[in-house]
Amino acid sequence: MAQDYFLSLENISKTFPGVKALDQVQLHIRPGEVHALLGENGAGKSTLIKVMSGVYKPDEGGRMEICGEPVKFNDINESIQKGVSVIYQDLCLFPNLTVAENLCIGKDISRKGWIQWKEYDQMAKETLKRLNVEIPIYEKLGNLSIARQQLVAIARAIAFEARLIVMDEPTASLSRSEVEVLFEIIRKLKKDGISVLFISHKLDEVMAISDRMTVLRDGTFVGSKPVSEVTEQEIIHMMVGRNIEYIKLNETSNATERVVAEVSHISKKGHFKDISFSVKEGEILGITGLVGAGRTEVMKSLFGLLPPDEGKIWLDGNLVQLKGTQDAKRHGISFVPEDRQTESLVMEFDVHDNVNLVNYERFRSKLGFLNRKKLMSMTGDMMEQMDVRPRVPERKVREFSGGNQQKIVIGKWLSSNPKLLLVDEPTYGVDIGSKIEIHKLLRRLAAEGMAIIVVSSELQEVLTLTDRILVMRKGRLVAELHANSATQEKIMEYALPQGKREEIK
Amino acid sequence: MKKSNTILLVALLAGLGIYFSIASKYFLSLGNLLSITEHMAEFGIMSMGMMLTILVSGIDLTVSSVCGLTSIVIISVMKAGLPMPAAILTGLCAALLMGSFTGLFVAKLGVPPMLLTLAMSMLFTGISYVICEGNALSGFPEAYYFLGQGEVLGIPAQTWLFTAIVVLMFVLLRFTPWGLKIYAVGNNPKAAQYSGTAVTKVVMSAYIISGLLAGVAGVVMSSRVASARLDLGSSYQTNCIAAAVLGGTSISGGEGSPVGTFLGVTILSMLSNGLNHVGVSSFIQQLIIGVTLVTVVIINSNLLPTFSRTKTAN
Repeated sequence: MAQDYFLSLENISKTFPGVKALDQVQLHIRPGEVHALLGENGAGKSTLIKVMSGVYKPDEGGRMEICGEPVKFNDINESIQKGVSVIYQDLCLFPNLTVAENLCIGKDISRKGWIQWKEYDQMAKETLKRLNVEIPIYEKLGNLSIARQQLVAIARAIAFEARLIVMDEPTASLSRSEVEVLFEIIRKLKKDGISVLFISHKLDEVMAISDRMTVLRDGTFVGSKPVSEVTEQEIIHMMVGRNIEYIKLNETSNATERVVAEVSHISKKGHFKDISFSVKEGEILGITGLVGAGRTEVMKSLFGLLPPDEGKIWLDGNLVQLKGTQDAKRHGISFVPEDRQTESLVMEFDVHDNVNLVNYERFRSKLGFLNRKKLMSMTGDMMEQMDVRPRVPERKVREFSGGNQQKIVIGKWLSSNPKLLLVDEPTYGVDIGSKIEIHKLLRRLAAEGMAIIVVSSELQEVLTLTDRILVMRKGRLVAELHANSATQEKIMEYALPQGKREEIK
Repeated sequence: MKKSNTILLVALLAGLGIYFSIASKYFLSLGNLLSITEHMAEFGIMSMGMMLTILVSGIDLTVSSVCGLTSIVIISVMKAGLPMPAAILTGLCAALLMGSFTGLFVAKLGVPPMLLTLAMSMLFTGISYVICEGNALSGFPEAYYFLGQGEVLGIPAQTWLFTAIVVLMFVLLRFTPWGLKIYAVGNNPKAAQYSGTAVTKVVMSAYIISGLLAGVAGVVMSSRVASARLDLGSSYQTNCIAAAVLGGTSISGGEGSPVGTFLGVTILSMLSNGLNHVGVSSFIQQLIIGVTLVTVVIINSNLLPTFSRTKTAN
């Protein structure tokens, strides 16, 4: 019965010029249930959310019902009025305003054109109380942690009397304990009869919090099931249409005896202390630990972004000073950062120019001009080697999909033939199919003699991809493990705040 | 560069040209056209520097003060006994130095360029006041007047200079790694840094060149008016921003080209010259120029994609 559902979508399609983003999709959400929406990148999750919230209008022929009544949204305000609130990854709040202002903005509490501040504050307090969270309402939002800001976003949805809150990758930037707090809130919402549509790449979280789930693949509906009736393997199977496990790629190591980079006793105040390690030719070194343990910061030091206060870095046996990224690049170090959108690529540039920005030294004539002909053939080779699609080097990078952008980032650095490749969360936000591809690529590069350091929070990734694992905790190196003998449990023993500590030579 | 934009600007230019030619019989004369290019050159040279700083998501409000101080430095050292070429070189070095300081502060301290360059311009004007006590200084040797008043092959010397600078700027931005970095930093400084670009150096270079070009404009102007004054370029500063933006330079950085800015400069110069010929009072002129600017800026920002150095598919 349609009335059993708060929101009911039937046969929803959405066509963009040349692409069918959604094809006859259905989604049914019961009141007070946590519903997971799953699918690989490009499966149509975001498009579906945008249809639900009135950003996009669906094609003719579909049906959207709220509490059994057919609805049509012309804009976002209409969907909010009907009780559908979306919390996007970047939250869309105002960091310079106070918590109270953030909660109430858009609500019209005025008398004769004058804002009623007291009522604002009252409402803010009540809303936060409903969620059982304590956040000072006069604090500037920007001063709060991301996790707390997210709670404000949820409270805001409550203030607007949301009946369904859509959370797009809400745990992406949260630590484990913060995720627990979020889940507590979600359970509370559930008790109040509010539905949550939960979107996440992390299946363990999906399993932990959701009641039911719907899987999309390539814009089509694959199925809806109660979470209690499926296993993680089955979900993956539904998402990719085939069974994929992490393939163990590190049975044999390609490491030679030649040390490419050696770091000795480097420290950076407030980030990490007394870190020493080395990486050999052909070796993949993994660095793991909880978020905030200082892993990314160590990578940044090696790439000249965060020069250490003390300690030494050797490359090929030479002591080097890395004061800026240009120094690192000159010494043959490449860095693939976690955030493609803001850190890796100039989105308005075409592929040529992005490749050029890294590799221009090789295309510079004696007079200092760029040799575009040579560059073009290299970009073409790179796109072919990395299988970037579509293979149009003149296309702006922003017009490529996320997975292809990641390939361009890795590709532009590989074109510079680096000695040492640093990769931060190589498969973050990447679908499972591409994940395996990227892993295989990294193994191949190692086999060809490159030294690679991979930072990852995903233990499975570290265990199946790397040769050697360093565990960091609170800015310190606490353990060195061999990937073939390590287990998830063993890594966690060291990574957790009160964990063990192994002396490292 | 997007064709639609160039077409818009060229059409505007052609339309103005045709209208003024019909409305005034003097407009199309060779003498008048050359005088337009002469006028263009001075603020055109400054506009190229301004465009550069806007390309790296900044702005340079020091150009007029650098212009004035450069001319004052030149005449001062000349009076102190330095020969003319050395004096000009000293002046240009001073301009370079001023640009370097501005660039250093903008790039290293991260102070908003609008604020910092405004403060720096007051500083430079202050120095000018101390040196010249607010007076116009004259007494340049005859040879000094060549750049602002002389001709080569019947074309004003400063027109040659301006053309050379536009071409140079075009070549540098389009065909060298430095140009690529300027656009990259303007578009996304973080991605540029993560690609191994020394962002602070790139930002500094924009301000240094802007300072130098303002100095060059100072030489040209003091040569034309035969005196050094601290307020030499003051009427041009806002025009420079207007010309750059009119020419499709995105105020948020990363987009724009010397060709666009050149067209912007041409349109503004032609407009004020033509309106004079048609007999429009200078008060109404300002109004008309304002309306034109607002119109073009609105069209640029909303209806048509702005200038972009990169090509797009389809």
